[in-house]
Amino acid sequence: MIQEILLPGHLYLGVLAERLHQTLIKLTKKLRYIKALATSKSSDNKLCQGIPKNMEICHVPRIDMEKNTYSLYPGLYLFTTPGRMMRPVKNLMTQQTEFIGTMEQCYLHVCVKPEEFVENKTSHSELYPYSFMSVVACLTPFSEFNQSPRNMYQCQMGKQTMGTPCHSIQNRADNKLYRINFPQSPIVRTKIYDHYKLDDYPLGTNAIVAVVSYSGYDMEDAMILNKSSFERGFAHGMVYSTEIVELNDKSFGSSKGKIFALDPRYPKLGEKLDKDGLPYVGSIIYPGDPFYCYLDQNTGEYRVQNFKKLEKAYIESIRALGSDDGTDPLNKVAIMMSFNRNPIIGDKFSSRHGQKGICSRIYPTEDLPFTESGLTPDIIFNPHGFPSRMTIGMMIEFMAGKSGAIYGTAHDATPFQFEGGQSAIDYYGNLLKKAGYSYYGTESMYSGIHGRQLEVDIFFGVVYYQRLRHMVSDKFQVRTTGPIDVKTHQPVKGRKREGGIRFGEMERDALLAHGTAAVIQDRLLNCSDKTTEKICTRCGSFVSISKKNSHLTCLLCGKNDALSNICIPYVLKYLVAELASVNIRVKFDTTQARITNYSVEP
Amino acid sequence: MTGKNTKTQEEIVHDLRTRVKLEEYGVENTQSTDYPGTYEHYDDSWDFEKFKKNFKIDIKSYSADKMEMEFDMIGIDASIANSFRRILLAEVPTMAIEKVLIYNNTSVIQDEILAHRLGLIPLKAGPSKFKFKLNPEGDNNEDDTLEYELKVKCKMPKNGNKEDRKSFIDSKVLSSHIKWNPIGNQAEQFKEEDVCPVLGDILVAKMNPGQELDLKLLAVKGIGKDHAKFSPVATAYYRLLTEIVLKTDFYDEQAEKLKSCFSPGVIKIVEDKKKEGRTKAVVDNPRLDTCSRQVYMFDEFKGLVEINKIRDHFLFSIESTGAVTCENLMKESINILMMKTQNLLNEINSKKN
Repeated sequence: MIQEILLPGHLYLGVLAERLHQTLIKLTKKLRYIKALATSKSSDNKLCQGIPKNMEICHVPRIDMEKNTYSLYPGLYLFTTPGRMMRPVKNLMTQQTEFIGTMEQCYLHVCVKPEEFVENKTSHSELYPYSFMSVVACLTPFSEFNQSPRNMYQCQMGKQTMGTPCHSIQNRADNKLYRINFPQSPIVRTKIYDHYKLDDYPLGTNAIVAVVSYSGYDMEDAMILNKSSFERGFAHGMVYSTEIVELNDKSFGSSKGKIFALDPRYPKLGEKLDKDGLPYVGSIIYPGDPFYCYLDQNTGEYRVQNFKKLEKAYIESIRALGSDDGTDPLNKVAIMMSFNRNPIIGDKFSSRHGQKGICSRIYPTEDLPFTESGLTPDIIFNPHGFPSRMTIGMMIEFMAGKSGAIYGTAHDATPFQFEGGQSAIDYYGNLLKKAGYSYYGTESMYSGIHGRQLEVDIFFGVVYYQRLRHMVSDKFQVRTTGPIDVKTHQPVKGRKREGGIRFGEMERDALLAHGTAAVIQDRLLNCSDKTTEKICTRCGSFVSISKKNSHLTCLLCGKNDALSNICIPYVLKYLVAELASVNIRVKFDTTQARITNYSVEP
Repeated sequence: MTGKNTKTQEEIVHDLRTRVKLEEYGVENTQSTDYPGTYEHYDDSWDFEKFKKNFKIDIKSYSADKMEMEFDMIGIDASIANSFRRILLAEVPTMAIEKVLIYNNTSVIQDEILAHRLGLIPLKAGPSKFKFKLNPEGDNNEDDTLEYELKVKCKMPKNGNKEDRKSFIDSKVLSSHIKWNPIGNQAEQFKEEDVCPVLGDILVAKMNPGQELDLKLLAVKGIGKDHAKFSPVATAYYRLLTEIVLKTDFYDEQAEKLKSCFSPGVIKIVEDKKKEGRTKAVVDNPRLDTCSRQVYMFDEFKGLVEINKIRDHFLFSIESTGAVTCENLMKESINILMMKTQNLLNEINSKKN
């Protein structure tokens, strides 16, 4: 029987059924050969014409020889459509780079190492052993030594670093842009750093790190920063933000005719704002300062808008925006500001191994331990961060970074390069040993506080540290008293509004379990919506009390002889009023209540 | 061999009193124990004459520009040596730029970063000739403030090429561009080279043609505790003198191996006079040792080599930033320590009455 091989609409060839399998294998091989040839630039082989270099050739055999089962949809599939994901591998037949697709690769045997090659089966090999990893994953040095979840954490955190987002900050108007001021190229780096030219966009600093429990401020993932390093610029950063001010914003329904202008009646305003009613470029503006001033031409009134942000800002630039034809008067501007974000207690840092930490203290240099060569660490990292997390890659980075700093070279830390031969620890240990340092990367240190030598050797080295964009100045919340909700008289929520943090049912439950009734009363009543209300002890109502002939009277009883003060949460009054509106009367039994004041107001 | 290596009771006590012992994985006897009453048959009471006899300062090296000094301080407790180190780092005053008045800055570097960079430039001005400025908002007086000016404009040379960055005039703003403006009688007191930046080639900013800086800089006196820029030293630190005891002789290959375990220059190979044709390892200069303790990694040396540190022998080293010479820094730190102890004494005496 003749089997037909069809390409869309056309009979391509017909073969005998029993030879179909062999023919398809041959055909696939041939197609792949031509495709691989087409990939190489120099090829002007006539064979390649008509075969795109990004064609996906997928042969699904009728019978899976290995499992000895029938395939579901056998056939030879060819894809040439755009929008498919493809990746480069090496074609072992032609020794050229070939792009393979997602379906195609399921039916190919791709080896990673030469040892994995199987005769008559392996057709491709990976270009690099780390080909399976993404760009962010490739940024972790010595990642093959780390426990795998740590590498995943680093992939998350790598995206949160304050780095160098672009070189065109002056010309941009981003809502928020984080940037560090004195970045460095890492000493310990993978090949990807060069391939993607990441030195043009550095995202950290080579920090001198000591692994020691010093002063207790480095407990539980906290880290101590050296005050002198900080003062010399370590991890200094800034945040840019742009505010677009549109005076005649149609969405607010305001009419036309507002323009930026300085109010001439207040000469003091001129100290902060320029003649055009906008702040001076380069000036510092504090919360509450005048931000801009405008004139409403309809009413002839000047208005000053104050600066609402909670931090001081530097005015970087002001750009006049407006209609496309540029004929509108000045009524729309983009004001770019920068905020100083030098490290403070509570800021987040991380190495490249999923080891994040919070700066818990900025410690004076003279108090920090120093080595035999007089070096004080920039960062103190707590040794308890290592045993449970098993980030051996970070320990190797310590040693590699240290030896790189000593010899003045950058070390290649691409994963999977230390397989088989010498171990990474031995390699860097020997480098350190040759330079006169301890093979293990440790150093004896002296306490900066009492001046004696420390009784243990300290693991000491250079690690590339990233500053993460989570900063306390964006997050801290503080409230003693402040704005309250109009309806309930309870504290409002939200950091921006100077609100409180919700004390919810679960928190209440916890305090109940502790039996701390006074604390509950403090949280839920005294610090919340405590009010004193008049109540009629006879009818048990406090919504019925009103002034009658300038005397407080209970409108239900028509008398005022049973009025007294009672202390309640304001929401209770609100609830009773709401219930009254749907004809539900709430009656309070005050016989048990501790009545505070019996006297009836005149 | 064993007979030679067992120590007498007296030797053990002596070691305990004067040596810090470096073991393979740690350090022992770091604390000084020579207080009165700790040991029998020893008189550890403090005596000035005894101290005078034991105390020694020995300057080992002093660079010609007086910026680096290494000296030995012998016969003193770690707490005192550490006090000097701490005072040098944090309490000896210098002058540094504290305020930057920006009249114009069209370069890409932000005002506040530029000001921070300028603050860190070390100045030659001698701090002893100035007073602390007590009121930071007050007037700038001749005895507490130095005024400088940094006025640079980057220009394109005539027929210059846009691509050729190196040809731009004043594209790099260096510390040598900082000019001094004398106030009051300062012009009679100082010369420009007395108060200018220590180094003229510190890069402050980079500019493109057309960009300019116009700044007034005000330097005041301060201490390192307030800000690292006032610290007079690049670093000041000490370490203890290493003592390497070879309990047995090492010859030929073993000697070479021993030598490789220490920093270069620590162990010397000499020809053995007693045994001809054989070379022997001897300790040459233990000062150079970095205490890596490689020697303990080999079983063949274990127990045969002892590394100690002499507890009251400090190898002190000071690197000045340039304002004050090392010797004056040390003198100043001694003065400050004396002042502090005097203050404490006065405090105690006033409470007594």
